[in-house]
Amino acid sequence: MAPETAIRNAPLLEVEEEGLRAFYSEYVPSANSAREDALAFFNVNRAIFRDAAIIPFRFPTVLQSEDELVEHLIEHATQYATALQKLADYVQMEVRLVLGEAKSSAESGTAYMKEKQQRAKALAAADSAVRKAAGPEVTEWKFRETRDGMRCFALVERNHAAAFVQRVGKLTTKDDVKIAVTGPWPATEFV
Amino acid sequence: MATDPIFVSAGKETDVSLLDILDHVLNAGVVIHGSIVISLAGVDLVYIGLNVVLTSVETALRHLEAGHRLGKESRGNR
Repeated sequence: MAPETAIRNAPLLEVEEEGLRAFYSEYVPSANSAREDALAFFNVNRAIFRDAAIIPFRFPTVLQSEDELVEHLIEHATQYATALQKLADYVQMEVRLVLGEAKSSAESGTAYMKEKQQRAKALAAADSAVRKAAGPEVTEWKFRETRDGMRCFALVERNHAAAFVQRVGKLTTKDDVKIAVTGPWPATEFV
Repeated sequence: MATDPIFVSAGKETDVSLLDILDHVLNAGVVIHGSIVISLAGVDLVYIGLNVVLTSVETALRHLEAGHRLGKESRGNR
C-alpha cells in the first residue's frame, strides 16, 4: 500500500493516465540531505512494491510539473503497460560474484595472464554453481561484468523469491569467489 | 507476496546494506535525460544529468563506510 508521505514528509501524490498510476512528490534536490532523500525514495518504492509490480524512476528524477509527468506517461504508455503486464507476478533477485584480490605480484606477463585465466575460470565455475542452485524457477537471467567479478540478475515469480534466497544464499565456493544474494527487487533489468 | 529485500551470503542473512539500496535507487530504473535548474540561496545552478550530486555523495559514502569499518576494527584491537 502506498504511504501517505514521501521525501522530507511531502505528501505522496498520484496521477493516473492511460491505465498507469504514477506516484510522485514535490521535491527540490539538495546535496545536504541527498542520502536521506534517496532512502526515503527507496522506502516509498518498497511500500508499493510489497503489493504490486513497479517500474521505479532513477533517483532523483525531477520534472517541472505534473503536466510534464503526464506527458511522459502518455508518450511511454504502451512500453510501461507492456512491461508491467509482463512483470506483474515477478521480482528480480541479484547475485554478486566477487573475486578476491589478485594474489600474484605478476612478475611476468605470462604469470599475469595465467592468473587472470584462473580467476576467469573460478568466476565461470561460481556462475555455473549459482545457476544450477537457483533451479528451473528462474524465468530469465541477465549478467553484467563488474570490476571485481559479476552481477547476475534473475527474474523469478514472487512466490519463488524465498526459495531462491535459500538455495543460492547458502552456496560457498572452493575458489576465492564470494557469493552474495540480495532481493527481491523491482525487475528493472527486465523492463 | 514479496518481502523486503535482504542480503544473504554463505547462509547468513542480514539487512540489505545502505550501499546496495543507494546503488538501486541511483543506478536502476527509468532515466529521463534533461537538465533542471535549481535555485540555492538565490543563485541559479544548472545540473546537466541528474546523477551529478548523488554520484559524488555515493563516493563519499563509500569512504565513510570504509572509515567506519576501520574505526570499529581499531576499537576492537584496543
